[in-house]
Formats: sequence, structure tokens, C-alpha cells
Amino acid sequence: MKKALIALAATLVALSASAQGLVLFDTLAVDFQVRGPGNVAPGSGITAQLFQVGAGGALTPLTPATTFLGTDVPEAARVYTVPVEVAVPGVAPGVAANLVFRAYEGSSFETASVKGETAPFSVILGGGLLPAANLDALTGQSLTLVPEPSTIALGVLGAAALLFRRRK
Amino acid sequence: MRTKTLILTAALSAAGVATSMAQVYSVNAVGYVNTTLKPGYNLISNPLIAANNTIGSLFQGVPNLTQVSKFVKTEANPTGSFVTGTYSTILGRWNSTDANFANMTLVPGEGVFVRNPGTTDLTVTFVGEVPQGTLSTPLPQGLSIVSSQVPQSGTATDLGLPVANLDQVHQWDPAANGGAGGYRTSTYSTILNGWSGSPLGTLKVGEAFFFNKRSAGAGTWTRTFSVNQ
Repeated sequence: MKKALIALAATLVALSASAQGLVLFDTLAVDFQVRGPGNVAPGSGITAQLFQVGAGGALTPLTPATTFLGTDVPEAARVYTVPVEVAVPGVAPGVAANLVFRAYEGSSFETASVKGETAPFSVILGGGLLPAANLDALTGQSLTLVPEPSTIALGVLGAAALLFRRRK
Repeated sequence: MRTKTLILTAALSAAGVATSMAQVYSVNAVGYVNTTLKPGYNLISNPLIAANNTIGSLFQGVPNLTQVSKFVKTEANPTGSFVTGTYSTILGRWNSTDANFANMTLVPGEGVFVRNPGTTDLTVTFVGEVPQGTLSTPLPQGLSIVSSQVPQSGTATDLGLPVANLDQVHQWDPAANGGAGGYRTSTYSTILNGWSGSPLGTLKVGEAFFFNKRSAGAGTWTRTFSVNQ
């Protein structure tokens, strides 16, 4: 299997030396389900994005990001992303790349109040003459987005303050 | 059954053959199909049963440095990889890592990439019999390049491609990415009761596509066709 992959990589590189590796960012295609707090579909305010794992675990965002399927599809399908094709710079077709899937509310994962991410996973990239690769390593898995601890703490404090005032 | 449009670029000539005293005739329909190759990579099929279906015979007279790449799966390499040959006018033959490249076949139902090395369109003409009767195309698990054995245009659904949940059709567009080429990918979903991703495109006569059979085991794409229907 490894020899076949190496041969495939060599063929693809020879055929199209300038091609980038490609991933089909389509979680429906691998039945990878994402749910928000309360076990519901993420909804329109959530962004899904792939990140490339680099040296020392540094994460580089890949584009385009995408969103989740909306109300124009059956409810069971709204846990999946709108498909996009994502190029992985610096990694040729047929070569493995390590990626992380992230979903978050707002403009960035770092500042998001609701978010979630997978552990790093490996994908042998498509591209060149081969179709973009599926995210097979995520097949059948799921991810539940959770509120950030600061958000939870504020919510708890607010509820406690309300209870205190009522007792008074 | 909806009547599909049979497209050939020349009039068919039919030769009737009486097979027995029962006066049952089989009609062989022969003709030719012109396939246009854009500069760069094209994913095409051989839509007719030629007298000689080898790559060397089908692609006679192509320009210098034309390349043909066939996606091959074997027991030792079940994932599949490309075997590529480059036609050289200096050598007067196909040059490839596979010494048997020119004798590899391309039959209806299969497909290959053909790279047009020029800057203008190139036409390849396929001559032969129209496939008729019960036509079966193997669909191995995973990726394979396939095409309709019936020389009709239509979407994969129109052409009777059997699909299961999460099977994918990858249609090559030679003009995508500024002429470098790229795929439009459609994924079949039982949840959606239809296709996700790119809408299924119309496959032309002589066009092949990548099919990714995601479900376990091999399958078969079977159609029954007669030029009289």
C-alpha cells in the first residue's frame, strides 16, 4: 500500500508539478456530524474551517472556510457543512497532510464564545489529476460545540445574582 | 422509458444480417465520433467498439508529446494509480514506464486522460460499432474512471449510473482553474434524496468521469441498448 501511494505521488508530481494538494471539505460525504450546545444543528452563525498542523503543532488556517447546510435541506442534514474545495499550500497531491477541523461562532476560533475542534488527523491529498480527497479520517465521528468557560461563568454569575435579588 | 437522444456526428450505416430460417436480424450500427480535446488535460472515453481498441491504434497520428494516462487498479495496488505514455515523433512510438503501454486497451465503459500539448483544440476520431445489447461496466470499490457504454449524453442519473449513499461523481472540467483543469464533485446523499455539492453536469458522448464507489464491494453499471429504440 505504501509503495502504491509513493508511486501515485510520483506520478502526480510528474504530471503536474505545480499542483497543490486538495481536500473536499464536505462533512456530509464522510458523515461527520457537528452539533451546537443543546444537541441541535449549528445554525447560520457558525463557521467551519480546516487548519493545517505545522511544526510544533502550529495551526495555519486554510481557505475557504464554510458554513453549515441551512433550512432548505432536511433537518437531519443541517449537521453537515456546505461543501467547498480546500487547497493545502506546500503539500503535493498524493502526500499526507495533518489537519484539524474547527467550528466556531463569530470572527475567529480564538475569540469565539461557542466552539469545538477535532484532534489532528491525516489526509492523503488529492489534486492534480485525482479528485480532491475526502476527510475519511473523520468518517462516522461527531463533534459537539460547547460554550466557552467565560461564557458559562457569566451565565452562572448572572443566574446567582438574580436568585439573590429574589430572596431579598 | 424516456427516449434519450442518441448523438453521433455521422449518419449510422446499418448492416442487417439474417441469422437463421427464423428471419431474426441483428443490426450492427457503425459510425464515428469526433471528440474535441482542449489544450491541457481531457477526460475522455472510447465510445465505439473499434476493430482494434488498443491505445496505440485508437490514438494514431496524435501530435508529438500527446500524453495518455490510464487509471489502473490491480490486486497489488487496489487504490489505483496512473500509467502514462507520451507519444514521441522522434521515437515513432509511445514512451512509457510500462513497455506494454501501446497495447493497453481502452474499451467502451472506460476512460483515460489525454493531454493535448498544443495551444489549440485537437480532434480525435473514434470509429467502430455502437455497443448494443446488455452492456455491463464494472464499478470497483473506490475510485475508477468510467463512461457510459451507450453513446448518449446526459447526467449520470440520466445515463442510469447506480448510486448508493455517499457515492461520488467527479466530472473533469478542462477549462477550470485558468485552463489547468479541475473537478466538479457531486456526492449522493440518501438524507437529501439527491446530490450534494456541484449539480450533476451533462456528460457528453465520449466523456468519462471519476466515480468513487464509497460502499463496500464492487458493483456493475448495466444498461440494455439497441439503436432501434
